[in-house]
Amino acid sequence: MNPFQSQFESLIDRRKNEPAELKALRLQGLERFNELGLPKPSWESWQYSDFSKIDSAHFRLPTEDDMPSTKEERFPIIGDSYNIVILNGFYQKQLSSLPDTIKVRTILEMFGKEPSPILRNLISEVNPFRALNAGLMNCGLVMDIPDGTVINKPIHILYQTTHISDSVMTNPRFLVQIGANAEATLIEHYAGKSNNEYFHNIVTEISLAENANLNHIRIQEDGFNATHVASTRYLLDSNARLNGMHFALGSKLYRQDISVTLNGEGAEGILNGLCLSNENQHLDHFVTIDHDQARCVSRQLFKYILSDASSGAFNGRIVVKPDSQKTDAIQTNKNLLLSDASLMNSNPQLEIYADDVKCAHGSTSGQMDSEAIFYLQSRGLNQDKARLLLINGFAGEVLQKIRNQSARDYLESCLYEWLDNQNFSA
Amino acid sequence: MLEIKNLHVSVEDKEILKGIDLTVNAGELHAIMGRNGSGKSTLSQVIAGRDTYEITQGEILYNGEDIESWPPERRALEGVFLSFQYPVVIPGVNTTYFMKAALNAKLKHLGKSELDAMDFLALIREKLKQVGMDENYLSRAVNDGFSGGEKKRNEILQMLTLEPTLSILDETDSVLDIDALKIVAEGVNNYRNDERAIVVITHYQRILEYMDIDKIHVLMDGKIIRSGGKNLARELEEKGYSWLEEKSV
Repeated sequence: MNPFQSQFESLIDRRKNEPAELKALRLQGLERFNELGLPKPSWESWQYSDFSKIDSAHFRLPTEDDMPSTKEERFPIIGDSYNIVILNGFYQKQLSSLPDTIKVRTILEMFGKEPSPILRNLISEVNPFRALNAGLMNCGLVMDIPDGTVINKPIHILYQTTHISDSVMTNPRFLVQIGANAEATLIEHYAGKSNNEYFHNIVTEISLAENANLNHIRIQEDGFNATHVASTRYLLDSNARLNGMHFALGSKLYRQDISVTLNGEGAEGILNGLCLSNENQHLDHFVTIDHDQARCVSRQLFKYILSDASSGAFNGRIVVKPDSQKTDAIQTNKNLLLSDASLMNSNPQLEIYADDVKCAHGSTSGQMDSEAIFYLQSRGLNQDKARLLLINGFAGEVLQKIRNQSARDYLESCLYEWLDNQNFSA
Repeated sequence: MLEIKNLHVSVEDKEILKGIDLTVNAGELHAIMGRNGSGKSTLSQVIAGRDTYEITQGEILYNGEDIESWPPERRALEGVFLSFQYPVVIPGVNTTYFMKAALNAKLKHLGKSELDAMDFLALIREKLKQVGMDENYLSRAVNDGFSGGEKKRNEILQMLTLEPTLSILDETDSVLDIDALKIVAEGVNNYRNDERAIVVITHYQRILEYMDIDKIHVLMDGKIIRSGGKNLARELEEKGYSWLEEKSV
């Protein structure tokens, strides 16, 4: 029996009181996962990331016994924000604070009462990790921001993993629904305080109703032996605006599939990303932007800074449907290789079926510009300082696009700390 | 101040400079003229310390010291400045931040106290006026989106701010319109004093009309083939470089 099957059975056994509909969903998810199997190198969209070792790690789902004392736990703070804290997969209501205008339920609560929006696509699901998540879903939240509500502070969802002696896996699922004309800043933050092996398999679904406005900052700083797999989907209705930032520096293996569907006229999807990798890390983004309606705008800027023997992958697809006239799409991927042993795979793809569109993409990968270093040196800065300034500038171009000041400050401090630990003299 | 003796320089085994002798004293303004490919830019980059060039013979003395082993930043801190022919664009690095870091590195080296943000801003505003630049340059990334002329003014702005003792201006005049050229020339003239030396490297004698040049050197195929006073520039303008080429045969 594969380890996921046995975890599924013990989960069903532990949660005897779950509604029948949820049980059916779980079964469907697991069966679909078993049909698909783990991604293989021959699958084009997964070719750069190797998941062959996940099977043998024998991850188990966490139980309440894995909860540390929350009194001793320290939680990262990002400015003045509303907070939702999840610790080792368990929602900590007593540590969370939210305004009354936001409705939050656990995902398992939701399934007791409403038909699932997940059920619809599961049979045709092609991403095995999404199917697995449906089968083994063990935590997560549903958040509703009602029409016309403007949330004045960022909502910081902190998903923290502490040290657990054996290998644990979690399958969180988040559903965020931003109502018409509503505005919010959401920080989705994964922090790992453990250097043990663990596995996150996360699904996040965010919908923006007409004219809604969301700043979404996703921060991945999991432990160095973690595997972090995620699928994030945004669905935008007409004139909705998304400003997304995906920042990753943690985990040994990270793969996130990001999909933005511009599903109403005039919707705008801005998506930026910054990855910092060292040692043997592998960080992989697969981004798809679907221009399903006319007059939509999309912008992507993804940057990777790779040190040591780390590697990265960026796949960016822009798909413009036949009737999506006046589409305006730009995708840029820039990568800075700090060592000869680092490796980047960049693969932009445009699929355009409309004729009146503006689409552009560009990708560059290279080492630090020796002329720029000389220029800075010739102004009195030593070589290390010159390099730091250039790397900061390279990363700064992305970080500047974050609208929330506290989030920007936090990520800048992450960058500085990361730079402090790199060895550039080689 | 600057003494270059029998300097031979190669790039990837190709000899570019073939025995340069040049002495520039404090207070002097020299011009080095020559065609493209004559070795002008190589000479300026070697003085500033670019490591892609190899000195195969001869030496560069700065205030009597051989500076071959000095990294570029040491040369800069000791007062050598190169205005780049092609100033480098550095996206994402804010001009104010860069200039403040450079100035404070220099002040620190001189044992002076570093400037805080307020004092720096007051200083840089004053310098901006001297080169006719708008304050919004400061909030932009270094040379990013600057026109050719703006980049050159930015180089002069850096010179005025860092206050070097030896300034090498490598084709600073090449993309400037006549108004900008006058502003740059005036900036350089005002900057000049008895303790500072300036070397203008150029293609055209146009900029020299606005400066009080002490000496002109003509560089051809890696050698200085002729040195003289201001009249040499006019002669060159009239007769062209080929006039000297024929003479030197």
